[in-house]
Amino acid sequence: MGVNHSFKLIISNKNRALVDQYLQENTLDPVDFNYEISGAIALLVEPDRFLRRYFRDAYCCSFGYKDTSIEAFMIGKRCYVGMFYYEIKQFNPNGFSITFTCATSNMSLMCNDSLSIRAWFINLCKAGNASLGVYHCENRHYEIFWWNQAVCAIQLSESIYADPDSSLEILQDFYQLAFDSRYNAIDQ
Amino acid sequence: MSTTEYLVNLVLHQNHFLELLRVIQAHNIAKKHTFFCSKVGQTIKINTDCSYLSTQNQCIELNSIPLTIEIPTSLSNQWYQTFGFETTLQLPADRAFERYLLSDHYQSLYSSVNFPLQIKLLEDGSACLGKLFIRARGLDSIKPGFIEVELNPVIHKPFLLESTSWNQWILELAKVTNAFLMYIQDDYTDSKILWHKNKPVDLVVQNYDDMPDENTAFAATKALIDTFERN
Repeated sequence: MGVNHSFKLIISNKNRALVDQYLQENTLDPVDFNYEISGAIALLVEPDRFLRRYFRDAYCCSFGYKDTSIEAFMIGKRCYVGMFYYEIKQFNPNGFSITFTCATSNMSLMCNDSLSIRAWFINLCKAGNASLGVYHCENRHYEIFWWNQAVCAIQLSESIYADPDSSLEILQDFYQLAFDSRYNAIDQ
Repeated sequence: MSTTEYLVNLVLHQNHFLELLRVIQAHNIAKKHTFFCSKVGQTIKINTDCSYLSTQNQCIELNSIPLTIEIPTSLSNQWYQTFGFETTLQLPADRAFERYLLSDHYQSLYSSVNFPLQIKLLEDGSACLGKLFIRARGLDSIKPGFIEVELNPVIHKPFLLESTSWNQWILELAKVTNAFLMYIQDDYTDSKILWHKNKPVDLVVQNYDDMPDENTAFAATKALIDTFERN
């Protein structure tokens, strides 16, 4: 049993075509995402050092070190990496959610580190004018990496879901007091 | 190394500040506190008969404090312009204390920045920990009647995160003062909420202060919770 980290985006229905276009241009062997609302895809990303480590099997916990060349996965200046399971669901009358889940634990760990993977999802948020982008680091935390047309990085522990209503109330009080504390933290 | 890398913030009603002082006093090895108030001319009323004009530090015996104490909450909501003191605590020694004392790493860190080693093990199995700087400010602008108390221990952060003694003690502070909120801050990047409305909680929030204001941070958080609840 491992972990399956995931990215989830909330996007307005009116921007569906922009999302489809981004997926067509930035995935390997793209499908018709209007028709196939779930499946598995490989992302086309620029290789960073974490992707190189991933392809060399450095994220694998065993000693079976494989020196796989990243060249085998290169297409132009980008490499393809997968699989990501994707699922497109209607979120509310105005918008839909699209979730990408890492197929393996090693991939999950790589996605935690890779700036290229993160950039791929931020660019998808930009392309689709997403209202929310969340990275779920399973068993650890949620990270809001995109909110209201801008990049951000709030992380919240998974315990917020123990009692969501109570958590919201706590966090509302916390933000009010913590921000006030920050504004008034004037050292001598 | 900064001395403010680890802070405990406690929000409580001003009427419960005396309970806070009592818990601190119960663990205060020096049995006296140095009260300070940096704003010249401000008055700290210790009781109805005795007012301290805080143009300079005042050293008083806490045991002599009567049952009423008035914090000047209406004076300012800015730190350092209200009220504070320093103390040295005596807590049960746990393994974190022992590791701290045995660690050359910690000791070299402190000697390199000219801090005296602030922890001693005592013969009765307890440990002496200091100094702990405590300051308060009024919250009348956002939460009338409440004050925020900040505990700033001059101790390396990893040690405190590991110490069961310390973590139990700060929960005790929250409990006896009927605290509204208590959270730990690590230089404003990593916050752990430990107490809310008279009960312990466990929520970690990181990097919230990159958001422009509290309303935006809350809206993003609400969106997150709604999103995953629906699915």
